[in-house]
Amino acid sequence: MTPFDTDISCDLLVVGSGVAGMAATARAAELGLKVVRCGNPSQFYFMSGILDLLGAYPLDQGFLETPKAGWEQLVAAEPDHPYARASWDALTQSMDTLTNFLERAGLHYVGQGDSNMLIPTALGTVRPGYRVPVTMANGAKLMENGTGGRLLLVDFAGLKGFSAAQMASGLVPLAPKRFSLACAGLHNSDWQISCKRISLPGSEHGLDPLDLAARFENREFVAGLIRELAPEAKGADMIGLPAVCGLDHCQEILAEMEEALKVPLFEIPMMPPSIPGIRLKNAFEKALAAMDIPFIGGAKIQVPESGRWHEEGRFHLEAQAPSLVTRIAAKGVILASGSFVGGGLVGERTGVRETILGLPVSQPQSREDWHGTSFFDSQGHGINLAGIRTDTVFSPVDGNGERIQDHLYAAGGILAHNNWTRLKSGAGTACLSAITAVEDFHGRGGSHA
Amino acid sequence: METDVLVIGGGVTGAGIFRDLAQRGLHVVLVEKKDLNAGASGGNHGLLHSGARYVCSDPEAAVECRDELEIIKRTAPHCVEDTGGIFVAVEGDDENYMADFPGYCEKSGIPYKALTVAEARELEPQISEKAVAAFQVNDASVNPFKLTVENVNDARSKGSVYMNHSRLHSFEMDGNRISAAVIRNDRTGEETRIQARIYVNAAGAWAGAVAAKAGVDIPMVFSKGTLIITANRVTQRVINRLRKASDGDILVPGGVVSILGTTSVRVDDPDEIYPTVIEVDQMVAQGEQMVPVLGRCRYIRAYAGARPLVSSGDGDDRSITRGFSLIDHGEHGHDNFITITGGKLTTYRLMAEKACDLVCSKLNCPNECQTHLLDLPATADGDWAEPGVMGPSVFKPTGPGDPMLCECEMVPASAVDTIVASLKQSGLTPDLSAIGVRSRIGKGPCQGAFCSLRVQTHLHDCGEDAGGIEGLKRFLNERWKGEYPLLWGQPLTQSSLKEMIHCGLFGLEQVKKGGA
Repeated sequence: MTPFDTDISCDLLVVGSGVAGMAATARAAELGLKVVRCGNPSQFYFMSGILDLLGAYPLDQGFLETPKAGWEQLVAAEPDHPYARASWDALTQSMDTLTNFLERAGLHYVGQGDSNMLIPTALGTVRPGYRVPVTMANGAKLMENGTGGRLLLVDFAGLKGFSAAQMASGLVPLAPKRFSLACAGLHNSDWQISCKRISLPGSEHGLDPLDLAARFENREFVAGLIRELAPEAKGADMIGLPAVCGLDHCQEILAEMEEALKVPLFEIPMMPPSIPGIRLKNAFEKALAAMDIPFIGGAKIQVPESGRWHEEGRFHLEAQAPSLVTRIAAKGVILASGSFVGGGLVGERTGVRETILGLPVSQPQSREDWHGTSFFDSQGHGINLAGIRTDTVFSPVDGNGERIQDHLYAAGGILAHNNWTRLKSGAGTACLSAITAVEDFHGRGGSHA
Repeated sequence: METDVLVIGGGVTGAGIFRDLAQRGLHVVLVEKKDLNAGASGGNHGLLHSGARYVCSDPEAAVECRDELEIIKRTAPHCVEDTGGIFVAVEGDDENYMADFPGYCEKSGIPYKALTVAEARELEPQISEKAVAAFQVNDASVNPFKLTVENVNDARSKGSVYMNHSRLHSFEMDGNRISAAVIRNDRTGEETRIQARIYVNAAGAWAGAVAAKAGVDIPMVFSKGTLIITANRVTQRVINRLRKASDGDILVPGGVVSILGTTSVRVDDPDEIYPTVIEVDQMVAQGEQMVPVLGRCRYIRAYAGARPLVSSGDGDDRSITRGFSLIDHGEHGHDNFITITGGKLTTYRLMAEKACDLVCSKLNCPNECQTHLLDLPATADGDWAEPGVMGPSVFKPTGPGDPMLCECEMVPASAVDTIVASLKQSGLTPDLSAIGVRSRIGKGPCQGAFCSLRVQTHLHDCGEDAGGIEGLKRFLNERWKGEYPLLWGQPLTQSSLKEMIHCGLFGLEQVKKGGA
């Protein structure tokens, strides 16, 4: 066997199947590149389904109403942040590219132009979203001025981690002027909340969110639910449900319920497994499969035994599955392998390592600087700034700022100086880096290189 | 309120005195500013020393340990796991120490058996291949939380009174005599005036602060000991490093985990002690020389305790005697006030006996100590889990309709309900933090990322207030203090997931105290 024996040959290999990997693959396919995707899409189970651009900056000053104001401060103060690599227009256009693709895949996202929407969560907290699933959009009305009325929160007995009473008890102290509990007899708030619990047959054993979402795909189940909600719905101006209302047809199911109950509905993001995240994954996978994009799943991507992963203008990597090794030769590679949860980075007692190519990792000087003494430290934790440093087209660079390899890119969570959980910037960082990288590769003649 | 004796401090020493005096027919009130074992009694290995650890440095302490170990094993077997122990030296360790060790053991009458390295590794396969000498001894492991609870319960069954969250506010003095103590409840603010014939200061690291309120100066120093808990039990026996006492040289199994410790760092304030990254790294580096898997295994929690040592000048804190200090303040005119501090978990009963002898001589009470003879009764309360030590087998689901709220450690809803009921009965708030102390909630691999949310939801559905989002944040932050020094490898990934859910998804970091 020579290092040049290959099972798959392609223009672009995308390592990773999170938002960055999916967006890169989709864009590459649109541009006519021969693209192969690999990696594990399981991180979608932990995603709210909300697409963030920038929700907070500076971090100690609450959520941003308009992301652009924070973006200007961020790129000025933190030149190493991925957002400082490109313009505001490039960033918003990359988000449009993503939502347009999802729209064609049947998943409808909405937004309020350049503003963030405020979406209520299962805990009764409110978080910003730049583009949100249409099924959550009505929830943003709860925080809008000039709205009010009777809010009915519905939960399901046995659905762990979602309680209408808990959400109500979070909303009331969060914004006492906007929310009151119906049973408390207070009527001076805009939204008066009451709760309704649905008990389904079989739920005494506990309800799995995925099973419940699958039940919603059954028309008879939805009809029964409409009948059960009808009496309370008569007195309500808005109804909130946990985000489990169907998988592939959630939009149609909610529309049908709204029409029958004559009340606007909204879904509430809850703890994982997150159904809106799974819908996002399904939409990507369906659309990419329809475009015949090859996917190598369940395999560990590694360099060949020789250790030489780039020779004679080609990248050489192996996808190691339990009983099968696929050798891949590609003209370009996008590392969208994620951070610690995705497996693109691993934090060892002695330092952080990039797991596939062993690229240099920008990281705090010592493990003492990884974490603050408070979990909710307003500045976040140093370890979440660790990652791969790149140039302006998201090609990794070494400690001297020199490009490591032409046609090699990094995108999404693996990027350094990218504290996306705190900035609420995950989807934006993923889209900007993935799409910029693909377009650079294409523009440099990627398919003819 | 009037009583014969007021004992200040609900650690294992205070609890031992509480029981011993009640046993001798006296009425006793025990006050504790937090909850049982909140200080060094909760922040230790849970090790019952055979005495071998001290044969070279402190033969007197070695003999005390030898005798007390046997008494505790005999009278409180339900609190003890009779594991046995091994001392092991590795390449590079002091050969004189290894050579002298058996002779010193014989001098103190500490039973030991010399092992070949092959024999030691057959008994404990995790011992390093680089071991060069090994001895078998009688160490055992004890659940310190259970031990304290059982002492307290036994005294209460005889009519004595325990008050938690009850802080000594002040002493009322009549010249040099204490005429009353004013105790303030930290939760309700309520004050109780307690008049006792004798006042016993068993406040451990806080003994100096208590004595100061009576105008008595006790020069104290504090030595922080950090310990870390492995996710799984590493060895069957206690493993000690065969060398002069140093960092990371004792590994104690307890239930389903093992505890590696400890460090010795001088600190100024016993209220401000947290484990640090540097201490953890040093300890793991030392521990893996003795038991190599300690360098690779997963840890679930770090914690620290402040050893109270009565100062006797400068020098290494480890060289200050680990023996105890019993001070009769009568020598300076405070003739109804005594202090007992220092010492070791292993000798808690002996410390209590000596303190009680002094109390009884002052009260002309002729009754003698019985605690070395009588069994310590087992009560159901003692089954509550000590953090990180009690195994997942304690609670079993009752059947359908009893969902698992913690899937890592298998804690069903019914177990949480039982704890909630017990907390309410004691007048305590059933929030996540209180439930966390009494179960394995938050202590599994997910570090509370999932179970915190499920338990919080369950509490709401049961009509409990649960402290709302603030209660959830407080719980996660309390857990965090024992987590962050240990975040590498898989635990780092888990904590990133927790960050994704609690900050990324729910935005909890932006929720300010008291609402918006």
